[in-house]
Parts: sequence; C-alpha cells; structure tokens
Amino acid sequence: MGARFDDRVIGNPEHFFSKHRTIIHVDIDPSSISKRVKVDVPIVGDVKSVLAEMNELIAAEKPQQSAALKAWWEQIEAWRSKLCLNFDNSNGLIKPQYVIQKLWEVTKGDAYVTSDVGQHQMWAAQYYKFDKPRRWINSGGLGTMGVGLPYAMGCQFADPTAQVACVTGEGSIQMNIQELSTCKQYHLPIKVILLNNRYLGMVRQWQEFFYENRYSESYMDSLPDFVKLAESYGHVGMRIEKPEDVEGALKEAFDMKSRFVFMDFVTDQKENVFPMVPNGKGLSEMILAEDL
Amino acid sequence: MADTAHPHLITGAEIVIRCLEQEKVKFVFGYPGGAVLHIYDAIYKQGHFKHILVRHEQAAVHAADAFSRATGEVGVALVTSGPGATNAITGIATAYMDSIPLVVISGQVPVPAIGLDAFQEVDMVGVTRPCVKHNFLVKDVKDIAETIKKAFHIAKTGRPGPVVVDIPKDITAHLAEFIYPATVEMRSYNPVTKGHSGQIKKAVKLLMEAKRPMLYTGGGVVLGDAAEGLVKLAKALNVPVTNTLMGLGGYPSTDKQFVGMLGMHGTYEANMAM
Repeated sequence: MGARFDDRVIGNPEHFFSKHRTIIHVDIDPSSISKRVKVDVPIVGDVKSVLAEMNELIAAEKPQQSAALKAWWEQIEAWRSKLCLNFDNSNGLIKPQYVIQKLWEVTKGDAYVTSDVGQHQMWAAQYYKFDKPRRWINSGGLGTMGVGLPYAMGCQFADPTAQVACVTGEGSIQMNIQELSTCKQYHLPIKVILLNNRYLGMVRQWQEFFYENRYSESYMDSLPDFVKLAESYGHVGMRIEKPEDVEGALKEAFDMKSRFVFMDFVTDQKENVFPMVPNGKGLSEMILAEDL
Repeated sequence: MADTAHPHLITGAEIVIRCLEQEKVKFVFGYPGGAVLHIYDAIYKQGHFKHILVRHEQAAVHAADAFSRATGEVGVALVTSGPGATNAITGIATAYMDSIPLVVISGQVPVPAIGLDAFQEVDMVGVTRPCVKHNFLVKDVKDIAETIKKAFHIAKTGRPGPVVVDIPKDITAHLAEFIYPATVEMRSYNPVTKGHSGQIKKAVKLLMEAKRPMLYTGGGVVLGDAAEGLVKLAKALNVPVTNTLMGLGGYPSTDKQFVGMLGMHGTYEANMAM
C-alpha cells in the first residue's frame, strides 16, 4: 500500500518472483502498478479512501483468527529471535548504533529526525523507532547527500517548539554546511548528530565487501574541527569520544532548548550496516553481522 | 507600483505575492537575484508569509521539501534565473523521486531576451522537464494567477510532486488586474481517488483468507495521511506490517505487529516474511 516495489526493497527481481504469492497493490499512480513486479489485484486510488472502504467491509465480516495465521506468527517470532539488529558494544569505542538508540531514548521517540545519505541514514532508520508519520525526513528515492541540515531547517520552521535532530556524516554535512549561517539568522535550535567515522562509510562498506578492501577515495581527510566551525557561527559545539559520555551529552544538548548544537561523535570506523542484501541477491539471502 | 489611473491594476510581482496569500503559504524559502528583484520588492512590502533567506538555492528547495514532508502542505521556494535555477535542480529531483508537493518559482530573463544567451539565462523548463511533475513558463502577466493556481493544484493532487513556474522579469513589472480563479480544470489531468469497489472487495476477501498475509507499506501511506486506517486494518486482521524506508512512522514501530523495515538493510524477519 503506497509503496512501489523499488529495487532497494525487492532485491533480485527474479528471486522475488520465484516464490508464488498473491499481490494486492494499492497506489494512486497507475504507472507504478505492475511496473517492476506483476501484481494480481491492482487498486488505483488514494490509500486513505481505499483503507476506509476496506475497513468497513472487514467490520461487517468480523474476522476470526485462523490456525494458519497463528502458525505464521510463530514462524515470524522464530525469525525475530535471531535479533538481527544486535551489535557488540564492548570495545570501548562509540558505536554509531548506540548513539541512535540513546537519541531515541533522550528524545522519547518524539523528535523530527532528518538524515543525510549513507550508513548513518540506515542506522537512524533501524534504531530510531518512529511511531508517528511525518517525523522521519530523508531522501529515499534520489538519495541526495546534503539534505540533512536544510531538511532540519524546514522541520523547525514547521514546528518551532519541536525537537529536531539531524543525523549526518562528515561527507554529507559539508555539502550544505553554509546553512549554519541560516540557522544562526533564524535562531533554529537544531541538534546535529554527526556520526564521524572519518570515512565515506557506505562506500567503504561496499569496498570492503565487494572490492576486496580497495578503499578508493572513501577516506575523509582534512576534516575541519567541527566544534570550532560550529562556534564560529555562534552555535554550541561538542565533541564526544567515549561511549560513557554519549547519553549525558545528548541530554545536555537537548536541554538547550534555544541553541543550535553541533555534536561530533567520534565513532568506531569498522562498523558496517547489517543485515545487508547484496546486489543481485534475493531478499532471503542477507548477510548478517554474525556471518562475518 | 500600482497604476494611479487604474487603481485595481497591480504588477506581476504583486500578483505573485497575492497568489501565495490565496494559497495560505506561510513560508517561502529563497535567495534573491536580478531576475526576481521585482518579486523581492513586493515581498518586502507584504506581511502575509515569512521569507527565509538561505545561503544556497539547493538548500531553499530542500527546506521547502522538508516543510512539506513535516506538515503535508505544499512547500514553496523562490530562486533567480540561470545559476539560481540550476542550483535548485538537485532539490527538485529529490522531491520528485519522493513525490513531495512543491511549487518552485524561478526567475527568467525578459521575454524578448529568451533564447539569446542572455546574462543568467537557462532554459529551466527544458532542463527540469524529466524531474518535475509539471512545469510552466509564464509569458503574459494576465496568466500568472491561473498558472500559479494550476501549479499548486498539480503539486498536491494525485501523486504529489514538484512543479516549476518560470517567470520572466519583465512580466513581473507589467500590470494586470488580480483575479484568482476559484477552480482550475485541466482536460488531461483528472487523478483517480476512489478505488474500484469490486477490486477492493476482492482484496479484502483474499486478505481474510490468507494463510501468510503481509502488509508492505511505504511513503504513500505517509503522504496520503492514511496511518490511522492502516493501523485499524492491521489490528482487525492481526497481520504483520513492514515499512519501506520512506514509510517509517506510517505504522507505529514499537507495536508488536511491526516486523521492521524491509529491503537492502531491512530486518531479518521482515525480509524473510516478504
């Protein structure tokens, strides 16, 4: 419903289609239907109005839970028990996943979270549990680096008293860094969460997995002192290097309700995003953290 | 300046401002330049919306984009001609790929200069054609109001998307009466909203009989403000729900029926179930 079977979602299309399943597709755009995957029951329409009609029909039927459904949930629980998002948090370096977990806790899951593009984006999507729509603001389709900070600006204007967090990487944040000036002019109390691993992380991950560790142009050299940079615009800058300081720093930052705070988290360079469906593989052919 | 002999005539620039007022625009994100100086003069004199000065036109479009994502309203950006317009393209393409409703007003060189390699000229309509939902070049001051009305209508109806309105500088100085149409009709544009009832009945029957059902939901649920209906459906049938990257938040992530995001970096359970 309201999704378009994007290539990042279905994995290898032949593999996706090799198991028979009945597909119902609700979309407002007829050109999205059966574009990549042939569907069985297409419904062109506004998803809200279609759902309203469906819910009315179901309410009249009063469905019962079948034995098959019970077995399906048991299978899902078995898959869940793999705890695929667990990570090792014991080596004394800041884990980027841990920063996001703490961000979720400190903001009580209620912030607007914008993100740039890369590993940090995936971790934000995996570890910040969004319960409301229109809170997760990122470039999914084009995957544009440099959106994070201007996206945060747009959100803060939309809701001036809300908590707005921009999760970003050193590559992305430098692409529209000049907007630190705009944030100063309009006193925007955005909090930048920079997951600084001194690499172009997602590129490095692919080079590690598929290019035999040939890290071509993915090392982030000559970075500025982000704290001094933020301060030069009159903002608050913080550099966090130890895991035990993460939670306190986040609390301190978000307690500053009227200040823009740039938080430079120095993270573990070796971390990769898992699970991962490699290019050309099917959805069930994931690499998990425990596999490596 | 209003023509004193015909007091109900105003400049094209003032018409642009009045149109934005009619559309209840609260923020315009922009960056001034030669081609839009008349518009910026009109902005200086108005008090209905706030103009936010960014430091790069790309950021103006991104900020308008996020404003729309957060509120559901049409985001508005204003850039000048030539390099201002081309700087906006990454922002426009970003919004296009995620189906975000935007109206981007770009200045253009005066009508007699178009096509003569004028200073700060670029064919914005040509350059953005593949990455907008629609675009317009306004060549007569009398067309400004209807064009902007159409732009907002196209941006927010059906599958939403960015619309570019390219306005030459001289047009913004010409005079016309301000008449904002109550409705616009475009013969070839009539998006469907209500789904086919027969298909919906069929779908519900299949869902209720399914042994291993799955709700795969994406950005459309967020853009269509359909989260409440989705939760109701999922709860009524006790079906697992997965979100794409764009759909996160469309179903509560902390709910036990949520199996996580699916796809290249999705959870094990979401991908296996799919």
